[in-house]
Amino acid sequence: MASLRTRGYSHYRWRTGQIAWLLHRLTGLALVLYVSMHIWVVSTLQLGEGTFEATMAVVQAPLFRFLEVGLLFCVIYHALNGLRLIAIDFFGATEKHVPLFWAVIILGGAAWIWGGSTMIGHALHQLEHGQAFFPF
Amino acid sequence: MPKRTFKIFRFNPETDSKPSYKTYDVECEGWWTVLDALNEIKWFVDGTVTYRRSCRHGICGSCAMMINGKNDLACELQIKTLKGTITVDPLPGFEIYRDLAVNMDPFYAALKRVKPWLINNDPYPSKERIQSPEEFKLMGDSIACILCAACTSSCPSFWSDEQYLGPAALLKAYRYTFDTRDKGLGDRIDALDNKHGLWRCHKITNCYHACPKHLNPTEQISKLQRRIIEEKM
Repeated sequence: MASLRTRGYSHYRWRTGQIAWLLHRLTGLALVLYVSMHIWVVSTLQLGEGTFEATMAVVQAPLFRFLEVGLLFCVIYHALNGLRLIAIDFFGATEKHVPLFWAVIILGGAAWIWGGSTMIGHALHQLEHGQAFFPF
Repeated sequence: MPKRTFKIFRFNPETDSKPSYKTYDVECEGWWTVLDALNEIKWFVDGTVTYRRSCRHGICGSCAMMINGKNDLACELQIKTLKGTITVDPLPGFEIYRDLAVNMDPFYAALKRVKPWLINNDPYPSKERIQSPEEFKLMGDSIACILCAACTSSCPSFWSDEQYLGPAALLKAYRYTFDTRDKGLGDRIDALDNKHGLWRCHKITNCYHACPKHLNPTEQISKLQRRIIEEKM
């Protein structure tokens, strides 16, 4: 006897709320990864100034500048969508959750383009001055 | 009478390995609901079409199904409000018994876990347990839930975890927790405060969009979460 459990097709799959949740979860995981790496980089100070400077030289390479543009997206989205969730949880904004999501995307997108373009400009400047893209 | 086309989800687990759709052309009166058309098909065209229905005036919750991709009550949704072919699917997320009838056991099991009845072991008062209009308002519109499962079946958290209480059971828990006559939060808290409980709600808000009674389970779940945090602190 066949068993069938349909789930989430058509209207209820990947609606705004689910996309907002998935992005929040993914950016959250990325931030945990970044913070762990950041703590590790700073912890190299214990091993002396030379080790710290060598590690910093790696993470300041153009490759990491481009990765930081992604980090900026994670920070902005996670922070703004966090405010959206606070509005839903504490201020009864469930009925407005879709326009709030678009506000997050538009405001966050503008901030990301503004900040990201500066960071990419800096990376390009490094490349122009002959710094290798990969630090390894 | 205008002719309308109905595309109905068909699956018999005893004979079919895969589900399919079967199309029926039905002459419909202008005032008919989707349930009227389903009855017409079952009674006069194809008696094997299987679905649940009971009160046929939007209070028993039996006929919740997915109509044109949205969960709704077949007995409340007027055919004249729908354009083109009308596609009828079972509620998503549940095991299919046959055609549009699904296995609601996980839904009722979740409901039972939140103890959806008045818990108050104080001695009986001489008359009734008084509740003022202001106290009544604390329960909000949660009292209007008819347990049709449209919300729970639209919830991605429920699709991924059948043990999750789901919006309907959580709304019921809200209804009793915010009932000033009830003193049963201590009895319910273990069911609510665990990984299959309140905290699996990620505010995806499909339940709010799916409710045919226009209730707002997401908001009530937020209030219940705050109440549980206050209780634990």
